Amino acid sequence: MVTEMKIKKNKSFIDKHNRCGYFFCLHWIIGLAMFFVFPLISSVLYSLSEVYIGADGLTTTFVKLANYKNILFDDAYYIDNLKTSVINMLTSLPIIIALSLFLALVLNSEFKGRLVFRAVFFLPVIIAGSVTMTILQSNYVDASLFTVSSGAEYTYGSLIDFDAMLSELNLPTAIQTLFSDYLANVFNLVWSCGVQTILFLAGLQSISSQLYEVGKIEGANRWEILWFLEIPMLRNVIMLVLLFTMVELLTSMSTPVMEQITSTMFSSQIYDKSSAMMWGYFIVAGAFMAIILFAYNKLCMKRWE
Amino acid sequence: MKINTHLPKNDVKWKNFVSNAFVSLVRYVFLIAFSYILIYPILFMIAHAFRNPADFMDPTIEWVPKAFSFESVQAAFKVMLMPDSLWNTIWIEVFASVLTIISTGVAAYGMACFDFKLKKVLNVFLVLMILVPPSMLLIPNYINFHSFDILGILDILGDITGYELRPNLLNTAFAVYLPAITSVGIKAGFSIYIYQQFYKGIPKELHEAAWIDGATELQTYVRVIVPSSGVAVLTVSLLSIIWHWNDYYNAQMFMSAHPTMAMRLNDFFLNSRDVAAAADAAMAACLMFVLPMLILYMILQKRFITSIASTGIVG
Repeated sequence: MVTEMKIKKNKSFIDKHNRCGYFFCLHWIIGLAMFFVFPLISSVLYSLSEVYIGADGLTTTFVKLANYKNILFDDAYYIDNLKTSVINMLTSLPIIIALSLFLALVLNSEFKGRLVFRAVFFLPVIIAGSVTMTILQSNYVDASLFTVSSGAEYTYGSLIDFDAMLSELNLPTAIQTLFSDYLANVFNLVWSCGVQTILFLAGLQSISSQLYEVGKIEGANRWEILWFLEIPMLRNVIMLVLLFTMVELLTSMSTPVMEQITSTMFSSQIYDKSSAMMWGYFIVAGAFMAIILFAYNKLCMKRWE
Repeated sequence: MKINTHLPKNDVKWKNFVSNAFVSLVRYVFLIAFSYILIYPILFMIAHAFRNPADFMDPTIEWVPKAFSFESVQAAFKVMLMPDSLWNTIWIEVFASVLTIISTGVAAYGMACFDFKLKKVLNVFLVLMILVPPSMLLIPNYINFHSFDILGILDILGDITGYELRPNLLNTAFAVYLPAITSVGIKAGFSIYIYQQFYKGIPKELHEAAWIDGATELQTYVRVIVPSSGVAVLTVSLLSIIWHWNDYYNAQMFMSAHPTMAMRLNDFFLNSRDVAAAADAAMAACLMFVLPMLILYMILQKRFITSIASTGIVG
């Protein structure tokens, strides 16, 4: 009887303690309701209705899925833009992950001038994704050494003709175009590795040196240490980096779909169609992200635990 | 016999030396190549910002200007509306980011250390906040701020009294501070996530010790948790300030009457993108825009990476 009462008392104490969570999260719950959930719902409603902009604000009439039908079957560019954006994400994701992991491994080893290089590799965090980046990729810089024009044209000092080198190798054309696309985008790829490199570097630094010693005693070489020690220990970082990179790649304003959406939304002020476009894109992109994260979780996380 | 045993040893030493030298050579080549790609734009900006604008057609001038001049910088000062836009950026973006840093910390503490019923729902919303592109919410939020209302209460009151009670918050500080205070501001999802991972790693004993000493939950947070979460605060602060500084769409949407530096830079770029002669001023303006963040990072960078390592987001 006494113990029962004690447990009961204890439980109510824990409940009381846990209810304090509401106190800490209250402002956030209000914010979510007012500035996140409400706008989200209204954007769903816009996408399902016809929106007129009148003198006294917006008037909406419910039209079911007409906007979605419109963008899927009548819009000449949307599907193509959607495809390019997702394919861009899928092709640059592995490269960005591999490149940033490689850079982090290099930056993590002991050598002179480490701090300077580390400082340099943070530059993308400050510059990429801001207006500065748009300006750097514009015609202003065209006249000089590097050119990143709207397409994938990219000549790096034109000292070495990578395309010619590739065609010498007699690779299948599909692989050849893939390679030349990557080379054409070296600038963009390196610039999108900023946060990822920093996260990997931090992850590498939190691996304890004892594990490395164990690896050494077991007689592992550098390659084995990478595959059996470092990458499994980085499994959570890889998850975070995957998520972050996909979000950055898909929602950055320079993807074709986002460009189309922002131009219909802000320049043409067509809210219904652009909301439908946004939701269509969000569903497709979200599905791909979910598949990738699920696959990573199933294939890698489980094995490395 | 002696010579035979001696020779291979020397050989191994020599081999080691060669392989080490080779590895570090490859490392430096890679690092310098990549750093070149990253530093290039900065050098480009500096070289163009400080050269004589008359030289822009001179193909012999690639990097080092023949005549040093501040003309482009002065032009950039003018088009950026410099002292005003800097002040706007500070009170719109930097203050909002300070509010975000504080409010997301509090919210993340609630999420990380307490087990309440709504937590699972809130976790779903946290993921959504990270995933949903911010431009999705811009138009609804614009309308939201245009006639601001709290769950329709002001609308009903307005109907009863016959006055328009819903204030127009556009171009007022509320339009940026309200989302910041309620931790749904720019990239608030990531900030909450980073804090949350850190708070989860704090040992339970710390909370218990505070409780035994008679501290309330709020006191525990303010007196015990916050002072020991320097690394998380540093990580979130640096990232959040940079994200806010670079923000363009939010400010353009809600604060168009108070041009920030990002807005001015973007306007200048859109107006002059086809004028080759404007390149120097544009580079000077870019440099002006980037410089405060560069300085901030230079000050914090030594601590920054180790601080990410110990926030627990990577472990």
